[in-house]
Amino acid sequence: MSRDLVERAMAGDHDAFSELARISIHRLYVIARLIVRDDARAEDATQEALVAAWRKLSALRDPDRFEAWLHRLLVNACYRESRRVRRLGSIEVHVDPFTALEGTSTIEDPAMDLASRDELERGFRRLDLDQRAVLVMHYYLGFSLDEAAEALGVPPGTVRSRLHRAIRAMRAALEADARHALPATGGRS
Amino acid sequence: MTTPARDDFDLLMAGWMEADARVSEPVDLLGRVLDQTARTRRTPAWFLAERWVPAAVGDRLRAAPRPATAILVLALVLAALVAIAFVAGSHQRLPAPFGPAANGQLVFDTFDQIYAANPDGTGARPIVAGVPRAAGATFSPDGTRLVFWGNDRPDFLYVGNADGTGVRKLVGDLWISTDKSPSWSPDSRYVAISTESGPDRLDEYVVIVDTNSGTATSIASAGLAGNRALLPGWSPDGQWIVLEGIPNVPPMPVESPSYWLVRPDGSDARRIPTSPLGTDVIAAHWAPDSRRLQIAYSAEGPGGAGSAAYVFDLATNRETRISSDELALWPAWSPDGRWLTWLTGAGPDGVRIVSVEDPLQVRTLDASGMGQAPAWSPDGRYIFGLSRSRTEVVVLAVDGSTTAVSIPHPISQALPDWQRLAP
Repeated sequence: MSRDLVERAMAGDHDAFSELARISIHRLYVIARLIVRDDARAEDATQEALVAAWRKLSALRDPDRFEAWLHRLLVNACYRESRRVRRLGSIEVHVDPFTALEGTSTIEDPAMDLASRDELERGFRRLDLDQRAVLVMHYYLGFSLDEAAEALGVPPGTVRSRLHRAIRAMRAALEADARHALPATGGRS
Repeated sequence: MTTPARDDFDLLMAGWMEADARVSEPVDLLGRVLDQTARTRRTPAWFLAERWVPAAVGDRLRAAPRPATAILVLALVLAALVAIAFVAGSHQRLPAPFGPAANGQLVFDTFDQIYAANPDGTGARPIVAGVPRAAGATFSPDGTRLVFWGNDRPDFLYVGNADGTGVRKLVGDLWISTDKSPSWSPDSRYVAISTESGPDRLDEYVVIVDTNSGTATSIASAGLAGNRALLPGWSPDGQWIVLEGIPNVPPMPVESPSYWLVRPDGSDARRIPTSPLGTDVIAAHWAPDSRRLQIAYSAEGPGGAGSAAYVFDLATNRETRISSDELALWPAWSPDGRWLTWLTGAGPDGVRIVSVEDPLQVRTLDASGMGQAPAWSPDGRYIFGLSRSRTEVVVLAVDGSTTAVSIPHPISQALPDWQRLAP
């Protein structure tokens, strides 16, 4: 992220901010969607975070921390979106990322079959937002504890304990699914 | 599904999130954001406590009685205003070492001279005088300097200002591998180059040159299990150099090159376990993000398709094929890290532009004669490269909005480059 772009945006240059938004929006949307598990809420959280960034950009003390600061705004927006009452008429739909035209898929990911994805999805939805956010920081963004702490606005020790609990909760959810999936024994021959 | 072991669990989670992240935001989302921000009044900096109060203090303030908070904030505001009054002098606007930047000049060689030109092809003129067989001009990431070699047999490495002035010799007694461009460190201080030595000039190795002092150190092949080292590429975080290693043993029926990672001091060398690279000598290309250690490269594709385009994530040790069943050569990341481009020889030559997050998003440009090593302009709006005959620089608009630009010239030794400027 160009420091000069950030500085110009901080000074009120909307064109510079537009470029920052253009560069960031895809990543923000992906992160929001991973956390809130809903396309419409992810859109709203992304929009809310970027608007908040524009309004409060003068509060940023170090332009080099822009990305981390923006992540924090996004996580806060995700929290707010998750608390909103679902709008009338909206339907929560999980889009299968592997839906593709036959013969054109180019991604090799043999370990990720449909059953595994569904189980991970169910397990992930059982987590609270704090736990989802820290897992996204850790597994998708590859953040260190310090980086995740800055993005979440909590001390590194809190990140460590949330991560530990989140991983344990995911494992427990997957184990519960595995127990329910065990085939029945006995029956007629 | 049985509960996987710990390492498998981490891979499973990372893989699932990566797969789940292969989506695109609604096309009108950015427009909606910018419409709203254009109508939104900004909160003045002096009004925002966060502007003046470190986060840790801010947390304590939020618990403090209001009058104490107000007095402290006011005191800090006054102190900051006083500090601002002493800030003076101008600062040179430089682009960040990686990521999108503004477009400066194009530079290319004519086998004997270094030329610069405007991106629209106008204004082509020689910019370096008095250096015979000058070639390989490559701009520093901050756009202020140019490094190139002069082919004096043996060669010298030179550095000068971006406009070709102030040229001085850095280091000599080199046999620089032609068409393999120097690679700058992200701090615009060091350059990594391939050089040949030995009686048959077959013992290639990488040399790191300090462009301030001219000090040169070589990355010894011993650390690379005896492989010859070429095509160095400096990672955006400055911590690693990727290079291609070719076994340095008596001639084999077919040499099997491989990519290697090594620290800039030559230590910690490790082979990257990619698919077989084949015999095309193509540099690996770093993703332009210091937090993502990923390289793009061509390697053997499945089903006899020849070279395919891959991305290797060095943090997770995972390889992902990005191209479909076609020849894909010289994959290169866009400055924003969202797209890869490559040349394909499937049918009429084309330049593919593929989304890294969703490889089903594909655009194809008519190559218009481009036949080697496509690269992105600093702002990500153009793709440029050399023609097959090495006698033209071809510039294509990514969105196809303008006709291709062709800059004809005498045959080049090395690839062209595009200067990065502050946006």
